[in-house]
Amino acid sequence: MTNDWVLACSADDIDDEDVLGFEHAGFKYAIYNTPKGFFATAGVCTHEYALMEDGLVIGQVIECPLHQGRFDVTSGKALSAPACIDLETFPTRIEGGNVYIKI
Amino acid sequence: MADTKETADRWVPPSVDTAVDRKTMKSLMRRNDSTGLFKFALCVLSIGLYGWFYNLSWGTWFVVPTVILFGGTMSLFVYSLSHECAHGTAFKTRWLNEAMFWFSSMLFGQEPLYRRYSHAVHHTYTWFWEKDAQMPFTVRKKVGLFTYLRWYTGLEYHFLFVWLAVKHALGRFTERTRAFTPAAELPKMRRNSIIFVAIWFSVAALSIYFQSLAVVWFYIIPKVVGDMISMTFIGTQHFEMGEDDLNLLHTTRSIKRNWFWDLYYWNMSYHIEHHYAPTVPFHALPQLHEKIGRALPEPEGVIPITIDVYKAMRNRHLSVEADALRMPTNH
Repeated sequence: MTNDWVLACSADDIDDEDVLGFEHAGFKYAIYNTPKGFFATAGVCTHEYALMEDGLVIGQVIECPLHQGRFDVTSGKALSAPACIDLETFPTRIEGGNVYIKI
Repeated sequence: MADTKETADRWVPPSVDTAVDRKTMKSLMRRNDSTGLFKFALCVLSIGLYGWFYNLSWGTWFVVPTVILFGGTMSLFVYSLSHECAHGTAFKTRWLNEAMFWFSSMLFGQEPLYRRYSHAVHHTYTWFWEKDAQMPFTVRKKVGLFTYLRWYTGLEYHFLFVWLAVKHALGRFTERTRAFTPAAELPKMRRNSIIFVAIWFSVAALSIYFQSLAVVWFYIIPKVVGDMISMTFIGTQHFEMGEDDLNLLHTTRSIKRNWFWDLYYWNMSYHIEHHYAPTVPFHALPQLHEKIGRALPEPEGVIPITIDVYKAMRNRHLSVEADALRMPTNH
């Protein structure tokens, strides 16, 4: 963790209720555009290896593409089996039409 | 728990044309309640009708076809609904999906949390011996006719899952269950198992108290008969396919569609497609097939596949030394 704000993508890159993957310094992140705003979490599911960027966003919930474990992207909280370990979350901010995440 | 990238590659088989763009895949993954509720109603009403025919035919020879029709559709329906709900793809509304998951799993005979975790590991390690929790046979071992029939009748399969729920209710978890279930989830699995076992025993106790055979006539007998049909469908999915192989096309089969049985099978005829993208709900599998179907083998019917599977098992049985067979539910 560098505790830096890093440019992740343009806000326009992510459709409403969708997710985009982002890689920085060898780590994978997932950036979400939800009805509650933009959020960022770790990019890999805590249950087994699957990229959250391939999952389905339903409101503020991301569903893992491999086993359909669910997480609240605003808090990272695991909502349903087989996911039971929370996802790490990262602060986001929008500036000049771009999404920055603090990592 | 698997935690390597290698396991994740399994669901994107390299020999399937994976050119399904994100926008298309996103639209295919979308859920709704109406399609599932309509299908559920259609299944329940038609199975109820078959049950009425079965009731009317008691005491006549017509009871044979009617019990097969009633039991076969019921057994396939509860298996398929439980499976779709385990993925969370049957209905968009989460509580509805979970309520249906409990309902169907109760009739199917498996505690829902165990079903969800054991099925998750099946998707991670599809047809990997000693890793796939839902793999009953291996080409490494001899399978005799008796063992084959024991599985296809479903009797041992379901008895073992009921017994497993009893053991879980008592807090006894085997190494195998612990291997794919996070420790934090075991108390929930135990709680669910206690509820399931309590309901099963209550139904049995009430039947005895009221001296009613309704459950025996309308559930147990048709289910035992019908399980032979649902197990035959399940047997087409992976039996006698490649093992310990990352490529889904080597480990998984789709089958030729049949409009009647597909109503109760919830489109699991598209089984390769389902393993390819388990987040895609049953009602979008035909559209997914349109996208990737050209890269998949031509599906065959249930009966030819079942005959081929049996022949392969028999030939191996005759050609190799006897070996102990381990059933999948021998936890």
